[in-house]
Amino acid sequence: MHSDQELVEACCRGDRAAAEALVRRYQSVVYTLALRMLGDTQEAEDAAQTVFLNALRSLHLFRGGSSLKTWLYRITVNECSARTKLRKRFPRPASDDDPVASLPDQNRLASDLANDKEQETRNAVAALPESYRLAVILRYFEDLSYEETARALGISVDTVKVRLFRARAMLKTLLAEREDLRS
Amino acid sequence: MMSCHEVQSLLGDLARGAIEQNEAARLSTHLRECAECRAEFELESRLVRIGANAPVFAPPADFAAKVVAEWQRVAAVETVTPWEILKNALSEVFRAASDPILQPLLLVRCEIDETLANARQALCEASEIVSMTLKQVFFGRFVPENK
Repeated sequence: MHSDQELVEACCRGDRAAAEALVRRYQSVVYTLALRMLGDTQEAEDAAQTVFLNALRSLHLFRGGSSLKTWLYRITVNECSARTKLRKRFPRPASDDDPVASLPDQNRLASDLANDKEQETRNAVAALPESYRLAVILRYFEDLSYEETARALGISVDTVKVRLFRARAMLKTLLAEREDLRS
Repeated sequence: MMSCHEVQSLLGDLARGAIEQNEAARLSTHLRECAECRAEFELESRLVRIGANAPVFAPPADFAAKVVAEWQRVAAVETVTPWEILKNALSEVFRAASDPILQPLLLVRCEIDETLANARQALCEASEIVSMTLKQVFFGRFVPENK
């Protein structure tokens, strides 16, 4: 098993096998984050492919100041944020064949599992504004430290703490509102 | 006595079980007495639990191979230097511009070649006739027609 640094050096020399090993090592991490941010399997796959292509082309710039995983998170966040912005500007027409529609609908699931607090919390996380949702995803779902979350988002550790604090406050409000609606 | 602010800054570590036993006991005492911190801890624990149980997704099996193939294709295109691109473009332009001039010249050249080949052939035939005539003269078999 080669270390990340060895794989990076081999990739910089154009080693195909090393590049494939590197992609295989982190493909689930990148794809899962892309899917959590975009909610669409096809778009997540496209985004993950772009992330790896950008990463492989820029590997010579990777200085090892952070871990390769955090560096890939950063590229993934940037790529998915750009796609989200584009999607907001040019929304796709609604269609029966839309793969987004075929994904489990958070709200439908919530009504089915009305008593499941965890499901409700998941739905509330999905309803957070993007900057807060991203901080929550990276800190809790990807289990990154404050420092890693800050590097992945390109912000300071204090800003991460503030965003998480506000995100938790919003979650409490959202969960309380849903509780009120149920009762 | 710990303040709520102090307690809440440690709730993440408490929910992850990453806190020393003495500190955990002090936090538990505070949580028993403070409803606000208890609610905060409940949400923190739930988020940690949801995150830990969240599924990890995998892309299609051929994903890595596809990415690497695309990387190599793009790299091959990018390794062509600007000078090579310019050279190729200039040679294309030169070929396109010179063809109308060179084509008639090529035809003329073919005509000249053919004429020269015919002349060479005629010369060969003439030299053969001359050599036959000389042989007949020297060996005495040559009889002029008007005799």
